[in-house]
Amino acid sequence: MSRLARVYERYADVVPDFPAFLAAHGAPAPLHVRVNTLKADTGRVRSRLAAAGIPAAEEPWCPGLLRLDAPEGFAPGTTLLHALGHIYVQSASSAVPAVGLAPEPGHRVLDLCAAPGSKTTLLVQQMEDTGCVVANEPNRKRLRSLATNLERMGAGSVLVTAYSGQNFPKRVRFDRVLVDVPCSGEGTWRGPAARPRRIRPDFRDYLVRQQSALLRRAYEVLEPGGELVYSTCTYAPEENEGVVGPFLEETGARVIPLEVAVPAEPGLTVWDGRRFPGDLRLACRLYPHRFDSEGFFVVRVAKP
Amino acid sequence: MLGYLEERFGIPAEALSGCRMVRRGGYVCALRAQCEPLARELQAAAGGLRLVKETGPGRFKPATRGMQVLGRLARRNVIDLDDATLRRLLQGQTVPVAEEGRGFVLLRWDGGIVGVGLLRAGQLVAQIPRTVTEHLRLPGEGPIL
Repeated sequence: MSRLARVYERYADVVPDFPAFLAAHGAPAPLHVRVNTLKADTGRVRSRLAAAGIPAAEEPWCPGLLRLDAPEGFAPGTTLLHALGHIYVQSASSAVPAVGLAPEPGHRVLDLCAAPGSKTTLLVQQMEDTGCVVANEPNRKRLRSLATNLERMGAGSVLVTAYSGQNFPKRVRFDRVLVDVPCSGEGTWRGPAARPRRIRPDFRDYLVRQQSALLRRAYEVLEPGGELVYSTCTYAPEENEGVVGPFLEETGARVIPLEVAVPAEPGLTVWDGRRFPGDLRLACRLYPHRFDSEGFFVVRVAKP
Repeated sequence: MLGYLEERFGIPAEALSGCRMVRRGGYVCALRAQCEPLARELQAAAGGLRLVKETGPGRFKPATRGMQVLGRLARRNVIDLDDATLRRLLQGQTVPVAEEGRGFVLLRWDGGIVGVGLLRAGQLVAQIPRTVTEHLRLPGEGPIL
């Protein structure tokens, strides 16, 4: 049994077509870049890429998100388009939470765990750089990369804060909150360079406590009638349904459909003897053999 | 500052009508007005788009990132570059140009503003910070990407 199979075998009963799921992890995720519509035009970027011999197909569910058919070794981060802030390198899955949050121009939005800023800058684009996005990141090193990326993308409607997410001030309220929590990252282990590893139970418990606290604070700073999106890049039900389920029961929040047209599997209602609220069927599990990108879990929640 | 951008580049002040000007690290930055109430309540580590650096009383140097956004509204003191000229400027070379005058100009390539240049006696030099180009790898030949 391969290392990958050993690490992922705990999901054999919940992932449909498990052999195809394992096989998909053998190849790297396709390369995507997102056009920064604050600065650049998608047509022009595609023309530039085509002139350099790189065909780019736009994802129909996310305007400006381009799947590149690039030669091996091509690094979009070294191009002038990247230096100018015309493009942002972002996996397709990682765009789903921001697209699913669907902020409107003029909204107040909080991105509670924002670095390095891929989702923040997509939120800014969706809002046409109006309203206000608060991008929060407590880690000093990651904060620098967040600020650099926001500068590069030319965002004028973003405030950067450095609060511990669990302790984000409750004196302010938001129309939308994105809480893309730190996680075990199992969904990113694709391709020959990936190094899958077993997650120790004590580390998983630590993550779950942190994720639960972040989700609760995200909900607390949400306006009544507001919506939040909780996401991870892991398959582990403990970090996904296991965090959101108890939160739903405790708060009375309800899950609403994520309106993003990508092939997703429903959230789990049973795992390892635990039962989760039936609402969680509306959550989205993104698997690489169904949606050729990284593995993700995304759920959209409304505050009554 | 708005007068400077209008006078030098023809960028209309209305382009920033929904913004407040805030000072940060020697720069004047444009921040959306809707951010102001939140900026009062929260401790912000950064925010807003750098427009100009204040180099003295009433003296400004346009900032790369701000001009990349606002520069598309500029009507004067803009120099269009072909791939070869841009390549030389990004390599730090001084390039002779046909334009007259002196002072800061905006460098336009492929319809978008790359950054700021300094024009003096028919010689043009780029003023693009190293932080912008540190990861840039220009191809030896062929179109710039």
